Amino acid sequence: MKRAFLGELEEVVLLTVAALQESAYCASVTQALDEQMGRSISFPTVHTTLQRLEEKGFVSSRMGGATAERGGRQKRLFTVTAAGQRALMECRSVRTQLWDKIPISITQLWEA
Amino acid sequence: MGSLNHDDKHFPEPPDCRPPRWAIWLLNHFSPAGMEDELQGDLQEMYTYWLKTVGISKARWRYISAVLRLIRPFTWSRTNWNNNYTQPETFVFQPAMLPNYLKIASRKLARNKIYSFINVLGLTLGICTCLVIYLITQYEFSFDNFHEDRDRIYCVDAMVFGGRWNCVPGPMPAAMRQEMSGIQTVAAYQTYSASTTIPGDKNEQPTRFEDDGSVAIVEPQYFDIFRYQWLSGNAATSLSTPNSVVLTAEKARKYFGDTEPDKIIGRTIFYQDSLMVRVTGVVADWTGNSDYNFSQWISYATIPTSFLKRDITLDSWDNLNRSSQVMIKLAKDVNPSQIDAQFISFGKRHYGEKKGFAAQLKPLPGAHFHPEYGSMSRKASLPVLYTLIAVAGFILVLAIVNFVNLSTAQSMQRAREIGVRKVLGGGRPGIAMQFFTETLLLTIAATSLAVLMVKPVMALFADLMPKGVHFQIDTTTLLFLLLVIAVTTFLAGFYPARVLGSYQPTVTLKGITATPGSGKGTLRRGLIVFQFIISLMFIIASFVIGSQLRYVLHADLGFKTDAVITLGSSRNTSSGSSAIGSDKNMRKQQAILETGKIAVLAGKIQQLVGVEQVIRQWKSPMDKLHSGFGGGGLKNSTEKPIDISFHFGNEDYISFYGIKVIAGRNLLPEESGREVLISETCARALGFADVSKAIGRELVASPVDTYPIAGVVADFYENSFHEASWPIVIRHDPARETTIAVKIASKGMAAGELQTLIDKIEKEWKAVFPEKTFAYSFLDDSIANMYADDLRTERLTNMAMGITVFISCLGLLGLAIFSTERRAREIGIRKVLGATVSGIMVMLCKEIVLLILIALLIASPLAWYFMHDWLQGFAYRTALSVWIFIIAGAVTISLALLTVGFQAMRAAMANPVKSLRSE
Repeated sequence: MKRAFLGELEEVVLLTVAALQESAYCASVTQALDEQMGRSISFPTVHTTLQRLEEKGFVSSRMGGATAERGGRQKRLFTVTAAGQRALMECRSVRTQLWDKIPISITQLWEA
Repeated sequence: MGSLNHDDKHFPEPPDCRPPRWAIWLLNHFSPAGMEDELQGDLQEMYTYWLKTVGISKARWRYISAVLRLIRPFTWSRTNWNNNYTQPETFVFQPAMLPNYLKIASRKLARNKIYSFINVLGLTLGICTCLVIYLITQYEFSFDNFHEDRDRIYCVDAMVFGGRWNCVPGPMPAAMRQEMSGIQTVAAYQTYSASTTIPGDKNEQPTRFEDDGSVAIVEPQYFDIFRYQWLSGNAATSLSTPNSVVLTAEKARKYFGDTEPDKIIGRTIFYQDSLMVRVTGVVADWTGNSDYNFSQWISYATIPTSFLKRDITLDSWDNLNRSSQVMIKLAKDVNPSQIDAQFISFGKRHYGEKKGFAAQLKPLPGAHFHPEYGSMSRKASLPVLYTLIAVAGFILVLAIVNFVNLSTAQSMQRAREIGVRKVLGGGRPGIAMQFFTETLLLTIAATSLAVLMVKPVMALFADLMPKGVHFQIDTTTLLFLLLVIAVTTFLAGFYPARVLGSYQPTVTLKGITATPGSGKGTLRRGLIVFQFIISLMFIIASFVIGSQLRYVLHADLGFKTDAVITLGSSRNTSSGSSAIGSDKNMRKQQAILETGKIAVLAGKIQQLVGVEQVIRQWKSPMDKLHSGFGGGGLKNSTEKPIDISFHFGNEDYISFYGIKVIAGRNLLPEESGREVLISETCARALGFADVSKAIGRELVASPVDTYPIAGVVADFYENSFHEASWPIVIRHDPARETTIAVKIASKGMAAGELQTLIDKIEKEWKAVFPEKTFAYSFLDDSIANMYADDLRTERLTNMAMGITVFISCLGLLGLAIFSTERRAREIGIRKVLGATVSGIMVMLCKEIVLLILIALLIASPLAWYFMHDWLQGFAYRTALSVWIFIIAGAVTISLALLTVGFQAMRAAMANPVKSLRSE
């Protein structure tokens, strides 16, 4: 099976969606990225990334949860699908494998 | 979306804390289908967040940029999110269709070769004109806009003796420096025209360079105002001592070859063969355009220590040197009006109440458009530039009109294609988009052609363009081209795209292609009328200008101009030591010295074979030179004084030029007579209804002297026709008669013989005036030269006329081809039923004649208004006769008929069988 490719930005967004759990929607994801990663990714970029992730089947969305601070408008809430979870796991395992290949003596050197 | 207003009530916020209203509106109306609500909510939340983290201005900016990126057509929904808000798409155009549009467009253009050709040709002409005029405009507006502190540099616009002379009194700069406050730097300078001689090394000939108007005598402060990069020497000291000169690098290279700037320091240059100066500095040339393009600056301190003090008086307020100039730089935060106010008391102090002194500061940027102050170099005229821009606009609009006309006419043929597209799901915007693609292709083709054409075109009309206009593709030119493409595409494509998009597939697919009585024909006719209004205006303008110039150049001037050569004069007209004022004693002595030489030269030339007559004079009867006296009148008369104009010459003057004596007698042959001749107008102005009564009366023609009137001559024109002639007085004063006019026995003289004669004259000249350059001009030419500007206007108008008429006729041709094609069957049936060829031709042509007549009705008053205005610039002018308008109309109609006639003829002659059989 051809594995859907997960870009770096997509990976970060997908992880954030997973981390925010029930309250993952476009604005909250953008803000979380801004606050926690210190990385200002513009709102439209996050928006299209989420669209792309849904296209690829890594997240699914439903409408809900209007709050006062957003003028009583509904939000589109995202959750990570099973495929998304797999993709994330795979990503992590690939990285871990790569990390493991680096001799411990060297990583210790970096940390020091 | 009413929800927005509703929400505002619930959450009142200070107005500036809300995102911009127009952005909200955009997002509401143009967000991808079904996503308005969530995006609106998300962005509002983000906006609050940004307000907290990055501040209001950044927040607004981010909001706007996010909206712009989220709305259509910049984004479209990739996923089909199913929710309750989905609605059918009505606006979206499909980017996927773009390649298809391109393909169809290029096929369509290739198939309709004639239309594409006509459109591209018209547009190319239009865009090329625009481009050339843009280059000229950009060049003219680029003058002196690169100086440091240019907003504080000012020219002085001074009026002295009640007139503007583009100069200031000699002592004025120094006085300004002492008496006025608020000025940071005052720099006096003198324009100086002199030949340059570079002494050679041992055994080498010196090299001589003619005057090129690039010498100025400047105070060191000049370089505080105009900054140069000093390659050698420095601004502070290089010009502080007498007899020093600073050159630009390019001048230095011209004079001394490729020598290091440092090695040029100390080299010697002679000006006018007698002023020896040493090079004390070299500066880099400016790269920008400037009116102050001097390239050799002699130190101001040189004036009092050399013979220059004879010509340049720096201490007399009454003797005005035409060469004295001043530039100033204001102190920071000083308003020019503060200085202007000081000029009032300044004038009183130095001139008293009467002498008509006034001065004003004028900013340096923009001085390029004002000949009356600033430098004496070539100035541009703003009205001319604006007219050119308007002409360029008109020509482009005409080409666009052609485009609109042809496309709407053709659109019927495409009705079926559009029907099919619509049935298959193409929306209006899609079809509009397709049409815009076609327009864009044509425009790009036309623009590329225009860019290719621009260099040859500019070479062709080089004499009409200021020197220094070059075509090169830089950012601004590129932007201009893009703008032209965008505007042309939009204007040309907008209407056809709308018309095409609005076709109903149900109607068009049934085969009904023409809706009877629809308004489209009206628009087409309106556009044709519009085109011909513009063409007719240019035709009329060019007729009027042509007839005025013919009148001006062929009018009886009152004197003969044939075969008269005027020899280069000893006076200096360009930068002038010509003085205005009363103190002329110094010059007089010099003049007497010259007078003898001139007489000798005249005698020698008289003896040459082929010379019929030689006279000494101050100027020709018609000349730009003018010497007037405002207090003319009869002795002991109490009447209001009149303006009189002087001509100087002896008894031969009037016979040489064939001026008729109508009363009294000619001057007597005397060495220096006191008698004068006056013109008929002068006699009448003096109050004589019977001109012969003036004979023998004493004329006041200078503050001190009176002169008996010997005779009255017939009037002749002494100025270019722009200005009325003054009452004329002819007097004999050898000291003033410093030029020589030669009449050649021109009968039977070949061009070669004429040249040998002139060579002989030159030889005589060189023998008498070895230090002066020989120059001559035919009187005819120098009179025609007075109208150089008008002749230029004529050529430009003719060109504009040619282009507009050509483009209009192209459009007409296209329409004619189209309509005869479409009416082929109708014509066939008419012929079968017995219509004659001529009857059919009349039917096809009469509409166009009617349209042109309407255009003539509208164009005539407009053209009359503009041309009447133009003619006001002439003191003597032709009448604007009705015939001009009638002939213009007739010419246009015949041109149009020629264009259409061939098509009509072909259609009318065609065998009806052919057109009818195809059914």
